[in-house]
Amino acid sequence: MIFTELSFLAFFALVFGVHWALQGARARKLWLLAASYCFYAAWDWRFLSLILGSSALDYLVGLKLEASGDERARKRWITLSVALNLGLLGVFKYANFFLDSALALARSLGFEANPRVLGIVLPVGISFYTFQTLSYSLDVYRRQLRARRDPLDFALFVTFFPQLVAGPIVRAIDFLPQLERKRLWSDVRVRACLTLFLVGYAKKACVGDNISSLVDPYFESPADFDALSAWSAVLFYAVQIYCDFSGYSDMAIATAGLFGYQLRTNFDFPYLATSIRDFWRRWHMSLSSWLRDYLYIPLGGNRGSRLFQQRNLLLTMLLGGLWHGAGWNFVIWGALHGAALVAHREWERAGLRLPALLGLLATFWWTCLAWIFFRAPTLAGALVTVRSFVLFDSPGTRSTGWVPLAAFAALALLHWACSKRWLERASERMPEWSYAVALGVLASLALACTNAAVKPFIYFQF
Amino acid sequence: MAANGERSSAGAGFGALALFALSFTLVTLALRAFLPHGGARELVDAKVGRFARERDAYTLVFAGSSRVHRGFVPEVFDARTTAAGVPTRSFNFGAPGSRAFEIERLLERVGELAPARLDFVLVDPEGIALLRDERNALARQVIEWHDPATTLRLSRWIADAGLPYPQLWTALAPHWKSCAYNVFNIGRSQRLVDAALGERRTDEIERELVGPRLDGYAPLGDESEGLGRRGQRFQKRRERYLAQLEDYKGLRVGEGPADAFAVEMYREIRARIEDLGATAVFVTQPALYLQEDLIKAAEIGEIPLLLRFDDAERFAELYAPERRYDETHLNDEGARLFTEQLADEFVARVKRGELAPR
Repeated sequence: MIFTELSFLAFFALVFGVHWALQGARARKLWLLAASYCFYAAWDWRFLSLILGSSALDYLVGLKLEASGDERARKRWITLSVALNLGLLGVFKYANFFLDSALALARSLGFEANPRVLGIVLPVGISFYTFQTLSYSLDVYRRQLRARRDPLDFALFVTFFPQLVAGPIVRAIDFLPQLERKRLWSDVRVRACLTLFLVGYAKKACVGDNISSLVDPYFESPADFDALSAWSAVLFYAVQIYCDFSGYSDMAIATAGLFGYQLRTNFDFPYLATSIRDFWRRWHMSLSSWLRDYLYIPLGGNRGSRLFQQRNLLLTMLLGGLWHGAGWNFVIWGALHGAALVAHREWERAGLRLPALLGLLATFWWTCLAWIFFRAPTLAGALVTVRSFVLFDSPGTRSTGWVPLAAFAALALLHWACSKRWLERASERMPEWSYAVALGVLASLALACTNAAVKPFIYFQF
Repeated sequence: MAANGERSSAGAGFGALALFALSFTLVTLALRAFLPHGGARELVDAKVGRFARERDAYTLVFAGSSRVHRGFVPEVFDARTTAAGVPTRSFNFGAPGSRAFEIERLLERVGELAPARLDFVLVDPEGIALLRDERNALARQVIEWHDPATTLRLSRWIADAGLPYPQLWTALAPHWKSCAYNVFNIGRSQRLVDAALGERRTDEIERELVGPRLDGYAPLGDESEGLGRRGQRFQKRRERYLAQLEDYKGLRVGEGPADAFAVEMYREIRARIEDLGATAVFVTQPALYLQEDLIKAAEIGEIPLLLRFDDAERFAELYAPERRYDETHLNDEGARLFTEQLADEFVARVKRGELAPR
């Protein structure tokens, strides 16, 4: 069940109606928890045990961390939490990758190895909820957060369905206090939530999904196409992944908002960033801040020598790349971003500056270059695309022509216009009757522009 | 005061909801008139488009599923009939997944083109498939015929089939999903999207979809020489085929009447063909699948003519593994041989006076 499916709308209508019909705060939370487990079970009920186990582990570790005054014991508890959470991620997400890599290395050294295929299935959303539970334990360990005694609250924090399978990564410090407040329908910003949901839907279903008909054929056989088509495919993939992921985040934030919960913004027009550092302040903000607080700073952050700081930056981005997927292509993607961040820091230290427009174009170009490795199914295919994208040199002759580039220019203009937030402001100012009419018109148009073949969100695989 | 305030707020809420519903409905209805189904890479659209260019030249069309798409060779059929003195010009409208309802919709579209010389429609309906595969629920050609009236009619038939609850839900859900997509116009902007992305109906795409000779026939390649995974897949298919062939040879049409819904659908297909001014000829292809309802419908006279090629003993050469792609599809060599035999049978029936243009 994904947000753009009609079945989700039916599910949401039921959960929403019952939630606000219930009177007690506890009854509402119980209902939301039950709905969240059902939502997850609709993907694969077998993995419910995994999310339950992960929740139970960090709930207990949180209590132990708070109760214990002995620093050595606390260290043991937090080590247990980190080891088990990362172990879970390691087994389900990275076991096949490490095994395949080790085998490839062994073969390159001349050893013969034919082990059994592990065939481990990746549970949906594991990267997201593991990071959430981990951040809870780390915050309690650092005494930045009180351990939650009510298991219902904790379980709802982990499984709250709007953000369960593809984020935004919610911090306990943001979410748990919301569970204590009384929830009133009058506090819900219905109009803002509906507008945001519609915008998210349009991004994902009307733009992201439709673009795949241009992107997918190219990446299946990049060597068949000319350089112009490579540019179209790469630019459109940049649009696709942004619309897909930020569209999902918008819908998640809007859905949570309709239940009276606030989730942090996850995207802030990242392609308008004027530097690579600016890009990471705007792209998948819940992940970048997580990596900053729980990886980059503990590694040493901005302390120590320049070389040490650069190492921290590179390592953080390499691991960030690996978080996105178990494959060397994601590692290369992370390395490219890490290298750009290091270069940008040195550039700034040297007191150099780029005009904003030039900075925007350079950042976007580099981001697109990195997306090639993110998208290409093979390294060889990625290198063919890089050659086309950088050197305008391609072995292929098939061409998608200039029309897609004109469509891209239109989308870029739309991206800029949306950053002015005219739509949101206009929708807030409208009288109720005209907002209702406009919403009806736009909803109907959005459905007609939806690609009939529903595609899962790209970020589910992470 | 508070109660009044709440009442007026609730009233405004319902008012807004009503306005939303009204504007949504009006725009949805308006879009239906302006946005036809279809897209640049839709097989049926490509075939209809190709057929339309020479609509008055064709005298015979084939309709059905992928078995037709991969099994009827117009070039062979026409050469054979012409040589036998019953010249035809044929076109293959087969499309993967097409069953009775998709065939009906196709015939409707052919009718809209008003072909002047269409004498025969050879159709392999391949079962009615009330229990459809959910993966096909969102295919454009499935969404297209799932208007509320047809879906309701189908739902009644499914409900009357006496299925146990979980199976009943599994049977109904894909149809309702397709119907919802139909009602809300989902996917109708595909042509506009294709245009915006520069996707044109080029010769290359057309050849890819409509077949190398642009007659609707797309051969299945011979993968027996394939290496690696392709070769392994071929071997697996062949083993599965040989294992099932023996069981199939022992299969006989069961007792009892034909399914009433299936018979009604065959009757409708026949009526649609006759509305085109053509004669309906039903065909069962050589496959490991016995179309019991179709055979029974022919026995009780609901189908005027059924040409059967599904006897594995009698048509042993069409069931030979080297002429097959899998249990339902022939490879190119098999398709050509089958088309020759079909053409011979067709000519014989015409010459005996059992088949004539209307």
